[in-house]
Amino acid sequence: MLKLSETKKRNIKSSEMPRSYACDKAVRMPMIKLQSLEGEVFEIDVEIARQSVTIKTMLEDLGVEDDDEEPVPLPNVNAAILRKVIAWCTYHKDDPPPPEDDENKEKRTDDICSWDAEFLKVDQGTLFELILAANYLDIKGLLDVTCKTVANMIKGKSPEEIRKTFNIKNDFTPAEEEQVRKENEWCEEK
Amino acid sequence: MDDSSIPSLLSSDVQGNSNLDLEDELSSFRSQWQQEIKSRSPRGQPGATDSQNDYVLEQAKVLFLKGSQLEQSGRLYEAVEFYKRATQLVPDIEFQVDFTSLHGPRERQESESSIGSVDNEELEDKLMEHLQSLQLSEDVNSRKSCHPEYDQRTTHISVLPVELLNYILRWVVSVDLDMKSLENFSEVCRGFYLAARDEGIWRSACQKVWGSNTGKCKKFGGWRNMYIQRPHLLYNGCYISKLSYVRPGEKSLDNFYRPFHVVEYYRYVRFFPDGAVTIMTSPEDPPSVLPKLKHKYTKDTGMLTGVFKQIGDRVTAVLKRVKTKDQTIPYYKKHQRQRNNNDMEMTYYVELELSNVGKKSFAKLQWIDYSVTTKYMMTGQENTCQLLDNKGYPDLIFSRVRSYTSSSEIPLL
Repeated sequence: MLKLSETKKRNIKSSEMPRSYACDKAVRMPMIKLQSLEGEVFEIDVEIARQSVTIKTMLEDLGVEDDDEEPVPLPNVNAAILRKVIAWCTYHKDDPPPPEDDENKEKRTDDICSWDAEFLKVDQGTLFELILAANYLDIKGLLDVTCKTVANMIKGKSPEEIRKTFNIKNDFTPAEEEQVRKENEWCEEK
Repeated sequence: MDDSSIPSLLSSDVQGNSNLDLEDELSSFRSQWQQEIKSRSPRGQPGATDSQNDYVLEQAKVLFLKGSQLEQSGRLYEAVEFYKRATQLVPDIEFQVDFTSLHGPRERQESESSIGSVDNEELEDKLMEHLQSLQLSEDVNSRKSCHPEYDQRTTHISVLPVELLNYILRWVVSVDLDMKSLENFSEVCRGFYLAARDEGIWRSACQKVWGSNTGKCKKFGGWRNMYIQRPHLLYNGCYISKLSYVRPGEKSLDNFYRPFHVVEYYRYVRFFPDGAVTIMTSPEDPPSVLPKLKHKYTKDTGMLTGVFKQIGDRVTAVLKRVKTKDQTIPYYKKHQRQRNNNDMEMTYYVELELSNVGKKSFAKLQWIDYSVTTKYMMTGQENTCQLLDNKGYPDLIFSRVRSYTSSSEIPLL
């Protein structure tokens, strides 16, 4: 009968031990290297990187070798954005997968969590680049939270306010604009 | 030499020279065959004339555009028919529609808009097509959903591809069906107009409202038209009616004054897109009550919650009174009270009729039926009581509440 402390130690050891290692090698977390557009290399835990379905699929298809010195090139993501994405993934690495049940989704009334709200206090440009990166790397949680933020910036605003918020040029001709306004009359309140 | 031998001679001659002749024949046949193939070359090759070329190309483009419109409105089988016809005429029409300059129609459109005399009637039906053809005339790589007004150094929203913009719009609309925000978005610029008129989003909205009853959009002419024209309840606000009655006040000692109070109270009916409904009767003003109705799960006195069903312009609902926890009652009394509460179960049945108010569609609800059935748990007896009377149930008028749609929770997928 093992003592509780001994079983605990054993459990910790077995989870830290990557399966591909032989016992005589040093025990460490498997890492993966990601290379940004400018060539900067970031080394992160494979488990954190696997939140990106793109990277996860690539690892499964190509097979990961822990001693691999070759970084994975991400030519669509610059270093600043990649750093932020990695920070988000690191914070959210223990998140449970989102519930599949529709019932649960409807009941959920929690908004963006406070850490994410702080994380997203960035200028619009960074926000759009995060959306593009989350889309490219296929990280659903990050994509959802960034799109939700942009959506909340759009909701409740008049067309002119939207133009001002996002710096958008009005390229309608006067006739077209009138026509669009007529088409939208059904939801006007007098 | 007799004739009979001639053939044999000839045949022997032929046989003797047969190889050479055969080869000659073969080569002449081959060259004939190749010429025939060349002359039967597919249209659009240098063989055909230029004018034939253009005409066919134009036809194919028209068919292709028609196909893409049908696809957008969800009529996929018909769309495939048009695509087939277009590709039969010109096999790589898909790429040619994007890249070749639509000189004919583009110049026409440009000259129309430059003169500024585009017929408004024409625009009415064809604004979508007009804008789509303008968009298609641009190069695929430089096609953007919007353009910045002023130069800016930070990344502009136009970097987002249409698919991501579509996903963001689904968050904007959300399961609360905030179509007003979507329509505002469509007035911003041309590219956003096309994004907001994406039939996919409107189709999802229709399915959210009508569920299995959605049917086809053909008779309405598109999913957006169905959403606008087909009667449905409005979810981004509350239907409110105001009532007042006169109550005599306390008489003063000498019967000189006979004061009376005018009591005003409101009835609020709030519908949620997922089928839930809340009815609340309260003397408080709308500004203080409406925030309480924002979420489904708030409990307050005077509230009935339940589910509703809508068929055509009739709405039927079944509701029960909300149980609020009363914390001031000490334990033993609470126990008794709970027992009392379990004695009867009251179920409210409501039937309403949906109609328009002036230009505002679906903004009025009339009471058709309102009854309460009380079931006594001890005896199993049921009593139904009709609550509707002539005076106490004026029409409910819809009023939008901004805070209900101020932030989105769940995207409309």
